[in-house]
Amino acid sequence: MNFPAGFTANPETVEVDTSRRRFVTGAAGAMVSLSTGVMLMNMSSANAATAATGADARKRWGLLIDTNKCADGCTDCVSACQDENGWGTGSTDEANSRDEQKAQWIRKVTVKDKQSGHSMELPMMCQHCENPPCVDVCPTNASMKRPDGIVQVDKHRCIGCRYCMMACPYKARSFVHEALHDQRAHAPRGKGTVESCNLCAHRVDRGQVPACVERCTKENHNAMLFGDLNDPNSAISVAMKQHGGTEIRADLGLNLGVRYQGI
Amino acid sequence: MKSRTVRSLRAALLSGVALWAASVGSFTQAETPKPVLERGKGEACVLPTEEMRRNHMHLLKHDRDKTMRLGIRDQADGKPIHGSLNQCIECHATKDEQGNFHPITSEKHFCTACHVYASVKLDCFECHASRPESARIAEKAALKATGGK
Repeated sequence: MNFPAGFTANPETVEVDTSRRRFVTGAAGAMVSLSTGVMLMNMSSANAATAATGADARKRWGLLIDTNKCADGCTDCVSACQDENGWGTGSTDEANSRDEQKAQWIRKVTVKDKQSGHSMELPMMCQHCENPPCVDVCPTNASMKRPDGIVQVDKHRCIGCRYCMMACPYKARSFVHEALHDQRAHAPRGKGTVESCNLCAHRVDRGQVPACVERCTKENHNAMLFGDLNDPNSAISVAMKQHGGTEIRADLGLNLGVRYQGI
Repeated sequence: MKSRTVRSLRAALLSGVALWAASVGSFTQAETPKPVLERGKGEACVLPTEEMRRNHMHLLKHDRDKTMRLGIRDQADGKPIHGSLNQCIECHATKDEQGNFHPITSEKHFCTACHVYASVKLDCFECHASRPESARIAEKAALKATGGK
């Protein structure tokens, strides 16, 4: 597969005027800062035990993916995500949906440089933007960013309009077209809602790493690193400081939580 | 004259209401049995039964936002928050004689039993699991052992 339309290898660097986004979402921005204040108050009044305080606003969870270690044809991260969150292979659901309609939280993408013929593979999923377009466009506030930077869909509020799917430059979101059965207890999924990678928030809240990262490390590929981007001493920050971490479509100015090396 | 008419009218109305109430009362007792709920695990629920019966939906709705949007899954003492649907299911999901959990479509399911009685549509389980995760894991393992997919 060649680069999809949006994924130019050398995007022409265009300065993004983010003030235009702020202008459009001015009212929403004020609401966001207000709700953050309320949340901080709640957190400071709650007991200091970490389990009860929830997503920590001082953290920003991120992923660093080394494409040089990402083997051609390996889909361990994809199957780990499927096992963990109950979509795709192994489920009898979505029998009437075409392949391109079925849920896909993470996929392997092959990119090829036409000039040199060099090709490589990388896992593609929600990039957990600091300024997520999906959150900007959501009419019900279902598409949301947690205080710790995880971008996800609150399916209680999702009305299935799919604006977020159109807004996402990474094609990271899926819409569930059919009634589902036997969902996993920690990963509720259902017909009529949009879903995507949530960095395994249920695992992160328990102090674990996302399922894809766990599997990649367990299988000795070590191509994925999970950690706090705000902590300069975390393994991910140290690795990124040393070798850098490229954003896909950095020209959009979204400040991604998922970074790649070797692209 | 006028006041007497009003008085007699009022008396007639009152006695009518009393008769109606009596008939409804006897009808309720005779014709509409209370839902039969299977007993959950443990000694008591997270809150007194009366309170849970009346307010469980508010508790669930309040705490789901805490968990979903703020990542708060536990209380300060480390126990799951009161409105954790997974925790409800852990205790209240019950099995039939063959050892299978009652599906949400069955009136034996704790939630369905009351919701059918009260005629309130329940849509939590279009997305959420209606049986404990441990049961799902055990079933998958058994299927794998017998060679199924």
